[in-house]
Amino acid sequence: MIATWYGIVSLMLIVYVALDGRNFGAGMLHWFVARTPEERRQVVAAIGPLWSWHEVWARRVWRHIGRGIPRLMASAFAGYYLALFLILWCLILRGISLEVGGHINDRLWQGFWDFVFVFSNFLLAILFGAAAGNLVRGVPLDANGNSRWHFSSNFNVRGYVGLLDWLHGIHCSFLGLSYWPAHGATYLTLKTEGPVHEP
Amino acid sequence: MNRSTNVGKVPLGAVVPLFLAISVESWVVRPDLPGHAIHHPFCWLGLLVAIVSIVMLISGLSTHRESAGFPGVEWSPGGLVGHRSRGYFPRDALFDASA
Repeated sequence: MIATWYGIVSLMLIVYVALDGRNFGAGMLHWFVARTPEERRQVVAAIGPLWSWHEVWARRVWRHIGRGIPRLMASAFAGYYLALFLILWCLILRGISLEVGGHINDRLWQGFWDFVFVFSNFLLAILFGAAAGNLVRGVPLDANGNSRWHFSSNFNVRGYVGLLDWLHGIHCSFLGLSYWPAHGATYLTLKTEGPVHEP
Repeated sequence: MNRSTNVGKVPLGAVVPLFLAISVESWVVRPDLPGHAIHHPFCWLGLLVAIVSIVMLISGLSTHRESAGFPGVEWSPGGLVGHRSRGYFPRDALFDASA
């Protein structure tokens, strides 16, 4: 039964990464492919209609972990408390920037929310990459299933290590930073025309 | 070549070296992992999917056929998760669904 739950959760996680990854990538490339405010609105419009639908898969992942593997959820929230709240805030800020960034035709207003949009997508790529790296490495749990570790510690590969500042975790973060822009680039190529599409 | 593809290809060059580095580091920090993974069918299936999808992505971006590269980029997360499933799935079922 536990393998079935892991399979369901993994499938949903794959679908989430495949669908929302294009939004991460497009958001990370936002400043690099769009040079004017009009072009930036074009990038936002490419991911605008469906970004919230893709996030539903993330909520489904957590819901199914909570239902099927409650101890995993309890351990994950305890161990990844700060990282999960950073992810939550990044998702919230990304949504706000997508929704309100174009409401006022002011360069300062739009520039601010463009910055928030790009920054939150970069941070999401780093955090999701580090989380995947930590899952492969294994999360230290005590006999009660509790996990308590620092957000960062040192660069050692063994012993008491933290979430981010560890060689494996950092490389996995870099992998996220390298992979998602390609994902966003292919999506933007298919979904945009005009200046963003031209050299 | 369009602007999006041009920008997206720059960081993509780091994906393969990083993947190899992470594989070696995984072996250092989880020496038990390769021994168990080598007998796990999902490891090989995931590796196959990941390699095919990354080749599709790179060839799609290189030959200006982004519609061919897009399925590659969509499938590569599945391949990577499958390849690493031995690490994701705990060897001893630490978490009991009924707990």
